[in-house]
Amino acid sequence: MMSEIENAFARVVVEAERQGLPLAAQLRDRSDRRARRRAAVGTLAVAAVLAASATVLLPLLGREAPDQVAFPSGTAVQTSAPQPSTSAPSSAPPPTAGCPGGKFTKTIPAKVLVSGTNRDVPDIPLEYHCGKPATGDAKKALPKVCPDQSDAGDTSILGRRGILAYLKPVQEGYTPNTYFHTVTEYTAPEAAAAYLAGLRAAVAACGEYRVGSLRYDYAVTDGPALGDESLTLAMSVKVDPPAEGTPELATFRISVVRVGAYVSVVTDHGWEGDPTPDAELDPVPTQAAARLSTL
Amino acid sequence: MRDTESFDECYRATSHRLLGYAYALTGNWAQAQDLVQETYMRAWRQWGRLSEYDDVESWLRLVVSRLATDVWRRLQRWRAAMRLLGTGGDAAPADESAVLLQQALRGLPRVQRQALAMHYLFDMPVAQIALDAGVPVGTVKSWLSRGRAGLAAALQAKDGDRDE
Repeated sequence: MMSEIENAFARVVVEAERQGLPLAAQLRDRSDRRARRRAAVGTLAVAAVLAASATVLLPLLGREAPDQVAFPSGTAVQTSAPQPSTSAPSSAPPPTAGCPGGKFTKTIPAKVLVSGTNRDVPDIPLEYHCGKPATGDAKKALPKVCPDQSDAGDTSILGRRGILAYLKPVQEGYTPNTYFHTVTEYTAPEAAAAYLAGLRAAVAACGEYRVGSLRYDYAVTDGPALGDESLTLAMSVKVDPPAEGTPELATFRISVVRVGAYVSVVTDHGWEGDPTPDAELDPVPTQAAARLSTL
Repeated sequence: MRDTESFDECYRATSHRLLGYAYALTGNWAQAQDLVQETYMRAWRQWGRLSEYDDVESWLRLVVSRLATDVWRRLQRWRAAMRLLGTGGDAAPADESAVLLQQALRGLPRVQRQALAMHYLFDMPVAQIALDAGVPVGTVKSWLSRGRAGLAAALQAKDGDRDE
């Protein structure tokens, strides 16, 4: 049998020689183009941040409130202030959560999810099961601020639906960036608001934690005010010890928006450990909030 | 300054061997091609430093292994979507014996598959596999032994199926 195994691997060697691969020059060229693209996107992002900072700070410089000016914009911890809910609580008793037949009580309509802009690749549905912890991509789609955090047993969840969506590559032949979009319906606006409050509290209470060779750290960061209430998180992922071919530190944006009893979570998933440039991902949370408002 | 000549020479000398290795890990030629191309694109980005390594192939092998385990599912989805749309993979169909091995390999745990591929495709001695994998020599011996037994059983079963 030994020789049979050896023969089988020998045939793989022969087959590998037969398989086509691009020329080295082509790969060098693609690698250089990718590096140039990343550098260009980085420069644009810095320019956008500087422009945005100038827009915000310059008017403040004219005011007589030096404490506002002195507050470093780069370190400002800011969330959009909760706004009055557009969905007035109903006088009817709130629905109760549960898992009849192992399923969620409510089905979230597909139209509330923001599909990817990449027409070549369809969205991939995430598998959420009522009362059970999410696994795989479904788990990655929601922020896990503390190492032991889980809302699997959250009795205030009526329904949840999510996708992994592919963005159109900035140029033909480039790899597409990706994001997760998940929408959850809670039993009441207050229960949905409690989810966001829980996230804020968790960020304040929990620090960095490790899973295998990855170290996760969450922070509340600046983001647009959307829906009835919104929250933007920055999830830093450090590879420790560093691994060749993988970014040592990458920060992914997570946008959480509440409209009434619904919560939308858009989590950047980038591509191969690199985050999506802001300009590519920016429209998604806004569209997500607009979709929730139609419910 | 990166030396294109040394990179191209390294690519010519190692890429098909790496392709066989990637195939042994993923069981799919199209995915293997993706992994190998991605690996060399990353290698070129760092070629100024890598070209000074004594054993660049070891670095390449490590990146292929990591890509195969970390990115495997995403690439699989990407290729699957491309195939559904009829725009993907120009990989040639594999010969039947390679498919048999691939099916047999799939039944093995990842570490055993990796150890077998390193041993049979790169002629790596046990000590070097242990060094690469960062585990004791005894562990690699155990992986190889169990891997061979599993592979032999699977190949025999496949042969039996084919004979019937």
